[in-house]
Amino acid sequence: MMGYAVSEEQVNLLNDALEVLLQESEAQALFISDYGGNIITNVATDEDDSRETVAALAAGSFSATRELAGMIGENSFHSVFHKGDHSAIYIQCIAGEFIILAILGKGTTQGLAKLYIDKACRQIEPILMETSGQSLETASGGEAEKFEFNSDAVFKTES
Amino acid sequence: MSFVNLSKREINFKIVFYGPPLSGKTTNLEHLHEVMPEDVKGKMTMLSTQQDRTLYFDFLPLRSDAIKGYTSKFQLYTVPGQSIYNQTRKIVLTGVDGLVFVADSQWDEMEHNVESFENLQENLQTYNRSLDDIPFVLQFNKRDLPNIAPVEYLDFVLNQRDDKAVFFESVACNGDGVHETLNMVCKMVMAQFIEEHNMNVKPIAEDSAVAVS
Repeated sequence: MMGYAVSEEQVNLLNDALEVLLQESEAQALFISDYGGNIITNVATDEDDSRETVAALAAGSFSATRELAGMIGENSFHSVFHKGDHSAIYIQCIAGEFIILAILGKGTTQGLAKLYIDKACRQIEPILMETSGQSLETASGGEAEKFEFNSDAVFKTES
Repeated sequence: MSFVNLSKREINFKIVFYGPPLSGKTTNLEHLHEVMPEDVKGKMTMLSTQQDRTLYFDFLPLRSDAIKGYTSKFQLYTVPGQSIYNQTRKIVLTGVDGLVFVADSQWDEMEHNVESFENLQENLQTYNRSLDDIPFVLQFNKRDLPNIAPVEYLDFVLNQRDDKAVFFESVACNGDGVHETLNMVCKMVMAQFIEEHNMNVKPIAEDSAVAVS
């Protein structure tokens, strides 16, 4: 089963839209990932391990709510909101198979975040629609390179 | 379903450890997290019940430079073994690139092995997928226990396919066979990715090649 690929240009366009959204919504961090938990891009987050875990957990959480939606006769919930004492997480479905996740501070309300995310999604959605099922050859502009194995052992242990 | 991010030169793969309750899926990931070098592993996350049984999934991200010029990122997931959590097992299988079926070698657990293996195939069918199109490795775990079935028997029960899966014997709690299982499934996943991709790469036309004198 073939996967999909996203080009550097598409990531740059998504980043531009996320940077504007970050300023308008006053979010602390923004992610775009697919339903499988793969991060397409993210802004204002540290380049550390926790990004991958956040994306995996968010994708899992959103998928679980979709199942819940099915139990009450809905196709899907379009968004979910988790609120804590100091921060909140807002997750919204976009382009059918992706999610946008915003980590919000104390001062940002759900309504305000939704307003700005809806606006940004109008710009982001066509880009994500383009990447959906996009082959590596298309993403590379027809200049895809051949892949080669680097070594026999994929992982080596410390011992 | 592999995902290539050309901006970061990353290739993402998803590996799922499947199997009956208490067969050692989480133990596999715990051991890998323990022995992998810091620059290879990410944070391990376990979504467990109060009794330390997997509720949703365990997650361990690993990275490798096994494909030249790219970072290969492997997201390792386990599924909950208990049958009441079948819906979450299905969710975890979304977009899977490679599978490890962790079987419990004890005679008493043979029925659970078979049930879980059939359940895996049913759940894959809901995504119109099958073990024929997904790189797949069998792991016969708990080989240190006294009341275990011979490997030949486990192979007969769980490996009735034209294209037989590779299997490994393991004792996941002390790490025996764990690393070998991971390396094999990751190699198979990458081999499938490279084969599918390279088949689509057009050879450089002779007239566009740069002559070097």
